[in-house]
Amino acid sequence: MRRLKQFGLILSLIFLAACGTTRAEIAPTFEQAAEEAKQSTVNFYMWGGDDGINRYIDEYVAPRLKETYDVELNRVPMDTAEFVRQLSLDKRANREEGTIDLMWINGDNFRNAAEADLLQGDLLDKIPNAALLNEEAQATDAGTPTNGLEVAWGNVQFVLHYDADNVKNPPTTFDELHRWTEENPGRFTYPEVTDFTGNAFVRHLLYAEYGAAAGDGEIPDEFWEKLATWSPHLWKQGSTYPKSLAQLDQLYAAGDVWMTMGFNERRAEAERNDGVFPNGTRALVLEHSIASTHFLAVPFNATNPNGALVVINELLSPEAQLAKQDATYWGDGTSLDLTKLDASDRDAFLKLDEGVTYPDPERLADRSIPDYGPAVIDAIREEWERVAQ
Amino acid sequence: MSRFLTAGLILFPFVGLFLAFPATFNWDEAIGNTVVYVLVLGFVNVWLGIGTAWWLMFTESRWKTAVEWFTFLPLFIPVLATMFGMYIALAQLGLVGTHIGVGLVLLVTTLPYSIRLAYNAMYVIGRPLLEQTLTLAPWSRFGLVLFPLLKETIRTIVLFSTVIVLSQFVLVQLMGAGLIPTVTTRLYQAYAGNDFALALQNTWVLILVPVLLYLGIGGLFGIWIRLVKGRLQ
Amino acid sequence: MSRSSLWISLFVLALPFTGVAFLIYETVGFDWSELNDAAWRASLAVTLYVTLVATAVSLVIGTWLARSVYRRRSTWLASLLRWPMFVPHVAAAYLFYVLFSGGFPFYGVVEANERHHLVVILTYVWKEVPFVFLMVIGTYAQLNRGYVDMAKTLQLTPFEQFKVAEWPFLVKPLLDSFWVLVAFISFAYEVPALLGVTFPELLGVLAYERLTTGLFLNAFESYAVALVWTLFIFIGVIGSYTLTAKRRRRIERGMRR
Repeated sequence: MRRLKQFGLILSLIFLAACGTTRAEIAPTFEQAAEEAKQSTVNFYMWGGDDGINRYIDEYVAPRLKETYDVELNRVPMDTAEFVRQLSLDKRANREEGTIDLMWINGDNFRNAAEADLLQGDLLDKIPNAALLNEEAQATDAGTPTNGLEVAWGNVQFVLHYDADNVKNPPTTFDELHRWTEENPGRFTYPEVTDFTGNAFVRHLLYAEYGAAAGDGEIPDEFWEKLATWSPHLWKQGSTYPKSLAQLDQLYAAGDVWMTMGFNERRAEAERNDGVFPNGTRALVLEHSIASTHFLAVPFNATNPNGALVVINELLSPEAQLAKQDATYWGDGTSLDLTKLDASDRDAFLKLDEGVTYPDPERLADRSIPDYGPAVIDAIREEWERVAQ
Repeated sequence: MSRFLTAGLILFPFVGLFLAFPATFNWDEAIGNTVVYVLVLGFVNVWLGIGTAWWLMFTESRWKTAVEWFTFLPLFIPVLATMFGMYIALAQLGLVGTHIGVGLVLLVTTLPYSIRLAYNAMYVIGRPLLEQTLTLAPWSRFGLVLFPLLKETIRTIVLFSTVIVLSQFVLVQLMGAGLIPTVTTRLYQAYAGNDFALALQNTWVLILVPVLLYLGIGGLFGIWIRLVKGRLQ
Repeated sequence: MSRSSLWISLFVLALPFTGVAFLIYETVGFDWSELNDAAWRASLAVTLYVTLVATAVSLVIGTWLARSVYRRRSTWLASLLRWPMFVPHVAAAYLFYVLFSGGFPFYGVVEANERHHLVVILTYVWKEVPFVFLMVIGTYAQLNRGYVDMAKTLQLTPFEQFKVAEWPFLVKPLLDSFWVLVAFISFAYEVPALLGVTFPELLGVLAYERLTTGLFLNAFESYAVALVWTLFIFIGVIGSYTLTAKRRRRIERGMRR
């Protein structure tokens, strides 16, 4: 009986400890936020599947933050959808002191988080470097207005990469790509449409057929019938698809397929230099390419929102953005407006445009199209199963 | 001949381990966490499993049937199905993202097996033999009779709980809120990336931990039983 | 000693029931007709197929091995069978993936990621046979040899010997193993996620995917499926145990000499 009492006591203590927590407050100015953030740790949740991105954060950003602001940056690798779901569970459980301080997010994950009211608002005016942002990139996220709930971190376009040693006459349009897969059975595939990249590939095909008109999410049956004709010539006869872009990259690196794809026109450079991707890797820009921006956001229950602001400001600094765009780490396009920068900074960015696997920047800019809204992303996800069957 | 065939069938998947050699072995936080979880959960499972099975075996209570079902049914609840409800419950207790929270949910996945294994083993030993030990003080009952008698069961409980704990990815990732890396969560990231050698290295660790633990416990028991025998003589 | 551990066990095991309660709470007002789409239907079919085949094969092989260890006292087999038990399911899935996904001799004969899910079944059989063996060998160890000898004296066929002298004692461990395996295999994520295909997906994979990707609306579908499946297994477990309870008790009494 005595044990039982002790046990009950411990239980009630745990309950007491859990109650009475309140949401952390954001300081009114950046200087105060930086002061508050001193000697604190920021938990930065981000997709962790790319070695170059991870090294950029761990080797470049984290030491700078420590030195300049005395802030510890803790990179937590997790799939975006997973931590958004975690936040939605937090919301349901009224958990006001969460574990996530800062997160990397975009597209339908952002749309979900915004709809479920999971994000802190009014971020822009508290971050000095936000004044340098490319306003067009900042305005919308895959068709959803950002409304100050997230801050643009990088700006990229969709490209394919192919191995020039195997692909002698690369296609120039999506129709030619279709014919190419028929002539080279088993050498092409794309990730499942639950994957960010796989979904985007299908959106490109949709755009090739119907242009901007398909933006309402009503996809004609003929489109799916046509897409189904791709299947027999894909990798494993289209009976299965890579679950993620990383798996497609693995197939490409191993030489099983001869093309890969992804947002970020510079993403293949470091992989090729490291010998992961074949030496013959080159970029392929077809008739159009969706431009995509990715963002940083602070969740409603961040324990250290001030630290998060400090980190965002640092990530938006011209030096950090320049290091990010360099192929050494990541090769991710800047979200800043180059015209708002000093001449020397601007020149440094323009110098980065040379790379063996980079597409021609003018041609890429020329073919850039805005993304469809979330309605199309959802529709593709719902209906694509007809192709996979 | 048929022996070789059987042995070949059972052992061939291990060939996969030797397709690439792990480059370097670094002791890091993930391996540390994993080893601590495995040891603590092994111990707690043996303790709670045997204790609860003992109660089920010897206590007359009108709640007995209910308790039996209550400890038995969780065996059949899929982890994926209950994970989200458990998250809400643990968030109320402030245990999300903590070692205690993760340990607790790992215990949930292992304890039903341990109780069952301990109960079955005691059942086989038989009530009369165990009842005689009731005259001893709890500690010597445990040390001198139960431990040596249940030697193999304890090893099996530890092996089971270890292997189950090492299999959990989704659960640890959610309850640990990503803040608690283990070899398993690391392995998933390695699968997702391009690094074959890293994935294989983590696979090695996942298999070696239970093997070493099993051998280690076997050795400890050997010593303990020799000591007990010495005392009895 | 046993009382305090009982209380702690009860506290810990209340958690999964909380989880089930949460599922019930979440699915109140759910429109069940939403589950009637091609993906869920195909998933149910392939899940039943994979689960039942893997479970049945594991039960048969596991029992057969335990029987031959018991009859021929082949200790080498017993210790060999321990090896797969050291391998966590995740690691087993990866090993099979490495062996069957290309670049290795088995490639072309049996392949990972194909619609018959043969490699998924193979992985489960490899992992679960030792489990079944362990559950059954205990029964054989305490089996009264008198029954077998008597059946032999009566000159029954080998099948009848098994049916009369062994089967009645195997019902309980086999029932235990059957439900543990069915519950585990039918709603697991790790193995089929690595070795399965895009369509059809096993229930666990599809449920987890609908939860994590995009549409929060789909979360309720996953909750509903998880709930129905859990209750279905509960009913199966409780039903089959109560049906066999009387018989098992009689046998258990007979077994304790």
